[in-house]
Amino acid sequence: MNRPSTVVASGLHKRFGARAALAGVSFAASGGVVALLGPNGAGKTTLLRTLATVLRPDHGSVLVDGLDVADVVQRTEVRRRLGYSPQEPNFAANATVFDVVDYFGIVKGHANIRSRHADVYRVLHEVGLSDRARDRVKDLSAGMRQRLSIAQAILGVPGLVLLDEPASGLDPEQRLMLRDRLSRLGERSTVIVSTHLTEEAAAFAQALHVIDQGRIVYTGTPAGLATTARGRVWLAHGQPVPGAGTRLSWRTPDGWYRCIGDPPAGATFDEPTLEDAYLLLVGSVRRPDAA
Amino acid sequence: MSYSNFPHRAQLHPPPETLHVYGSGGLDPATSVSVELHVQHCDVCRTAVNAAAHSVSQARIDANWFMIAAELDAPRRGIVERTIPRLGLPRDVARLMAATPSLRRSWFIAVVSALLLGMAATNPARPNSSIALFLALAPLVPVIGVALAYGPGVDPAHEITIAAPLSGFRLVLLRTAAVLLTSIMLAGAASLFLLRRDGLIVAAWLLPGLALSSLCLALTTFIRPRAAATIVAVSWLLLAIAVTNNAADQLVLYRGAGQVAFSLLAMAATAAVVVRRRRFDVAAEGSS
Repeated sequence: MNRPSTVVASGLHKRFGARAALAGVSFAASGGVVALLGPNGAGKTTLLRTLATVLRPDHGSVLVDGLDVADVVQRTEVRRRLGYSPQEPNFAANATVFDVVDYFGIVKGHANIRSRHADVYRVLHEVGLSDRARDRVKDLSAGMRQRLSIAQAILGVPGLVLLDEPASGLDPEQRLMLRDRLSRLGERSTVIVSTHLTEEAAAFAQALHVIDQGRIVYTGTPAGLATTARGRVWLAHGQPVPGAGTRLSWRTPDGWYRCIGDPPAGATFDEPTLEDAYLLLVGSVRRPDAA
Repeated sequence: MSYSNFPHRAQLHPPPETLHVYGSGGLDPATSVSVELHVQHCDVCRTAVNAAAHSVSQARIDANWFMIAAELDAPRRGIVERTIPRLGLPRDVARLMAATPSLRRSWFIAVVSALLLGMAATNPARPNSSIALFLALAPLVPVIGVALAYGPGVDPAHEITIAAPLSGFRLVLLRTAAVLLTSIMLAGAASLFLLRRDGLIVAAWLLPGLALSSLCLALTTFIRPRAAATIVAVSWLLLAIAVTNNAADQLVLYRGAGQVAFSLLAMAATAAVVVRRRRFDVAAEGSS
């Protein structure tokens, strides 16, 4: 499968007991790298597991290339087209790196042993693990396990790649490598990546969905997100009174107070960053400082 | 192309494409000779030839290296994986079965110790109560093996396996078969030691073992595998203890009527597993 898949999710709802993990999520993606950005517990993982056909939504539908994952036969076809790396991936401790990826090659139905082994080696090379192929999983660092998980997800060049927090456990140099890999991957697959780091999302994604409390609260480009905070970020001399229009504020290194929210008259505006916009968005739903 | 096309004077260079083909070793012998004579005297063309030779050989080395390295790093097969193909199953199926989480050294050690304990406790002075202990323990060997073969909290990469096109039910069947065969061999070997003294009754754990294993598998379609195994094992031990302490015949569970009951239980539980087989394809409900 060398063509990026088209994913259309509509009206997804999922509850775990009293908590609504997804409260009506709809979105579409077709090619490129898409970031799901949101705070911890926002529903990113639930959404990715639903797209990965692991979790059944209470309501709503997921179509991949027009195939409905609720249908058993069509779901199997969807599973042939997707690669999935879950949050905090783990593998049999005594298996070797090559073993693990080769095993998933079998599970994914790659029957030809020679071409499968060459493909295993290709993906290990792509994530920079080819020199660790004979090492056991228990001897790998957290970052290496993360890369191993990404390797199995891109086996066989799936049209849809779902990566849950792939940057966690990676050092800055490895993150740079991940961005590079994601960008290449986005040319041949639809790549959906969850993260809670705004700079990460801006660095690798063409499209961005901000999720908060089980809802998508922004859809657009990373640059577009920053502009939504224009005119809502200002600098103040003294510490602002919390609540009165100021949603969040923090002291800058040069002694000013940087504030986001509804500015007072005559405020000195500052150029908004992606993070300002994100905080404004996520804070506007939750209002952590409303009390 | 004739020799005269390439006078070996430095100012008349062969065209770049010719140099490139020469560098990658694809030129006919006659033209090769003329290029060779030219590059001996021309630094510019020699550099071009070297560059071509390097890039082509590098690509070839990369491709070959991928294949060689893949074969070198290909997993070495363990004893389970080497044995299964001899039974006529394909190598990939052997790998799927050998990757069963419960078929690990720790499980084998636990099984062998439990069986040794059961055998060591046999007391020739009280044959019935000691054989009852062995028969109560042996069925738990496959139960625990089956419970630890598939599912959340058992298989570390369970979610990735679910998201793959391979049917979860098929994988469950393969792994259950691997575990049952191994368990029957281990507990069967233990039974052989007791056969001479106690007679055929030592094989009476087989049907209870199958019945309890299928019951456990049926329960895993509702609850997590560890919980299912705990419920089945505890209920079974309570029943076995109650019967041993209260019934006139301590082995009544394992005689005719008991065996019929275990067969019925095994069939009912297997039917439940088949009916609920789609549950092996998605994550357990309520797992966040």
